[in-house]
Amino acid sequence: MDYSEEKMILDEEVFAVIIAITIIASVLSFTLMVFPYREENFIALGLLNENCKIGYYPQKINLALSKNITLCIYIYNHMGKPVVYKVIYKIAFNQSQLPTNTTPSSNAPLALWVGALNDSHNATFLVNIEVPDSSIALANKRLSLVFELWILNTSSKEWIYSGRWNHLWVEVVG
Amino acid sequence: MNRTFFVVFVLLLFFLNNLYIYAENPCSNTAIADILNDLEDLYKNHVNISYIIQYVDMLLKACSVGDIESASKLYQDILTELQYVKAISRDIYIRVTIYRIVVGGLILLIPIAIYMFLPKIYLYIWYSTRKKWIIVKKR
Repeated sequence: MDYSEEKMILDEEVFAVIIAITIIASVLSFTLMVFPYREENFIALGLLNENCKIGYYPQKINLALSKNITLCIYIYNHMGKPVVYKVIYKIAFNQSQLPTNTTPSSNAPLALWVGALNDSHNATFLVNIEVPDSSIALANKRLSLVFELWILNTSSKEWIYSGRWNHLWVEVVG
Repeated sequence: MNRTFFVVFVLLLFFLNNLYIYAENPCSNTAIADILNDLEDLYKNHVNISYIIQYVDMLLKACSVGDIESASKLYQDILTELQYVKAISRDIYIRVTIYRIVVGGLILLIPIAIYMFLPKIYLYIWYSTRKKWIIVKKR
């Protein structure tokens, strides 16, 4: 095939643009494949209602009827490695008893749930929690259901607080 | 001599006792952390560990309800599985690396292939769509 014929039909500038786009796309794909882009590693904890949806959380607990509340816990692992986690349930009666990003609540654990998650995987499970001491709860009228996320550190072989927690304030009625 | 033998014997007993405790406690942080450590290494080597993670999840749940019998069985299963997967992990790593090199090479060849074949393909299509055309001389 004669080159002049080819040149006549396929515009040189269009061809150059196609080649340029292909080279950029190809190099970008290759780079991403060799050095995959990794966002910041994190682990997430979510508190959902009894239907495992966001919103419509219980606002009151009537201790005369039932001490139990059903909620749903959501955990997402984006640490770039598998993790072993532990969710600890505690109760707080005021703001100072709540955990922070660096320190867990000093109150005693009332229940815990453990599990293992692969990277980029999540787990959702229902939990039935109990409000234990009705007299203290009634005296305070308001309490917070606290859920802290702990992960197992493979180097120290100890549980460490991940800095992730959720809490839900509920009004206590007798 | 007897005293030395006695000390060695006591130390040996202590060591064996610790080994026994470790082997009998699949719910300890050390046992779980060791498994997790192996899983992290395998994950880095592109080995599919999803099903072992499920076993570990079951083990932890058995431990949390105090079902030591099930936990011990699961622990042994996990160790056996880890042993098997570790043995083939090197092959999997090599396979994945070769696959990546091949795919990477193919990706880099795309611009060259387009440079070489696009005009030919374009011309082929151009001519094929016009092959039934009749050329009439303009008056």
